Amino acid sequence: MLHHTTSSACRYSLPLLLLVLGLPAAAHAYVDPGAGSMFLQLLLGGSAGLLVVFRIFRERIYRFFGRRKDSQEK
Amino acid sequence: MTEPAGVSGSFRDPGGFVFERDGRVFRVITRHSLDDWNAFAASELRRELERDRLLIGTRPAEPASAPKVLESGAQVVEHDRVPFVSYPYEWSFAMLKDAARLTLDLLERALAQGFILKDATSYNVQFLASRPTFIDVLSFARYREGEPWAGYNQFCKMFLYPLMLQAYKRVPFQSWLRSELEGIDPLSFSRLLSLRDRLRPGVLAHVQAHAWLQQRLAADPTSVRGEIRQAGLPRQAIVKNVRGLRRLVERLQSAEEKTVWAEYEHSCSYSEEARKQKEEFVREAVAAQQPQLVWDLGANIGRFSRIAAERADYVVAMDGDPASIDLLYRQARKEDGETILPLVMNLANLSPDQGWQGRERRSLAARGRPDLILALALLHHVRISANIPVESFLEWLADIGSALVIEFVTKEDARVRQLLLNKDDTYDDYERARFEACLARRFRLQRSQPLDGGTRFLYFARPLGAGDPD
Repeated sequence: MLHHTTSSACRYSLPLLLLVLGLPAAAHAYVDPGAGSMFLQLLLGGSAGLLVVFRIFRERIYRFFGRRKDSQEK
Repeated sequence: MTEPAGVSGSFRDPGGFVFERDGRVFRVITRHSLDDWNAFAASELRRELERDRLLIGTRPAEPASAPKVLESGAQVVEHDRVPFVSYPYEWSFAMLKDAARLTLDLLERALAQGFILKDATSYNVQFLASRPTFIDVLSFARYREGEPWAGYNQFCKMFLYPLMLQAYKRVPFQSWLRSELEGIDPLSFSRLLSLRDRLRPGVLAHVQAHAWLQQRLAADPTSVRGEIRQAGLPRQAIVKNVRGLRRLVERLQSAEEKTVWAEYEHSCSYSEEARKQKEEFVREAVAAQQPQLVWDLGANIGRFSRIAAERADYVVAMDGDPASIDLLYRQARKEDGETILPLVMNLANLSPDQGWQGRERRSLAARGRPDLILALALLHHVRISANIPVESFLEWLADIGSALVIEFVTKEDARVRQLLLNKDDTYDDYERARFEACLARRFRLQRSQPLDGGTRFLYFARPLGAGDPD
């Protein structure tokens, strides 16, 4: 009985992933749980939210390559 | 003027705190929240919400009414009083659901007008009889573009998971919420859900994903919050999520639990004559007492709460069965909804003082003494099912100090015989003459009446020493 109410294609990748992966073992870190909730808001925020996710990952990629560039120049 | 008593449940918010004085409720707004408050106070949004009675009424008050510790620049406001405070762990499914709807509706309206709700705890809502009202005015803040909604996590823990627990697993949420004042955490809740449950509406997104991301990002050294802030979370994303939650909450239903209690009303063994006699007796007692506050203990689905509500100012209808209270609430909500407050309450284990120093959430007794208590078709359950001695129960009632309408059902009665079926009858004190003697030691009898059928007896009594000539 699949009851998904939205038809947006980007919604299915996450559910399918989680259906398959299930959950990780117990966490061990101490940090505010708020980070996960905020990130989830992006994932649930439709196309507007996913755009932000994309931007965040793009930033991380730039930073990663940025470091490599620095070490090469030295 | 009496010294103000700080309402100890209200200390965590740096933006302000609530205190009581002379039976009135005030709130100090410190400089942290002043800008947001002034913007909200002047807004059309606030006018609309107060007009529609979705938000508690608030008026400016003189700083002189505040405690001396007032810092410069702080403001004081006065709130309308909530007649009888209640907590989410005392609400039925439909009540929690209505409180959730209210929260999301206010959030959506706020977002449309440049505001946002900073948090989404179920303690922001109180019930005025059978209508939920938002009471935490400082939750409203000006919306800053790009900021995520900080209340999403809280909404899940305090509203969504408890509702899902009932709707999907048919397990009542009240006990869990009473223990965990912050709500049900995503990881624990996800562990209760089966593979099949993952396919139910909202589970993958709001439970599984939530628990998973919480774990995943707890170990992450970078500040995701900072990154999101830098990238900016668009308002439309929040609105979309809120609307999704709203649709989800709407769909959550408690299975029409045909528990023994909700069925009780239909299968009751009263004759028509006895029923009428009982109703008349209660009506007359209420008329004689003219109570401001009535407690109907073991209210079931509220037949006598409604009778009391004809003349009383306020009736708190309590029962240990969530399904009965749910039915009572849904009915009261459809009627005028202005007099009866239904609560899930186990008499043998009443709501205690809770929270930090046991002062954040108050026990039942601390919330207001009733003028009249109805204890109808109750004593046999208290004595035989809960094993509480008759003397002890009457002592508790006498300590409350209110008038009393109490029913005694003899062991010959079919329903009492049913209770005794699988037990040894060691209940020697459960006997009418002994009961009447016990009652007379603590109360002054005003009226008594045997009901048609010969197994049920009603008593209307006032506490000894209450206006008695000595």
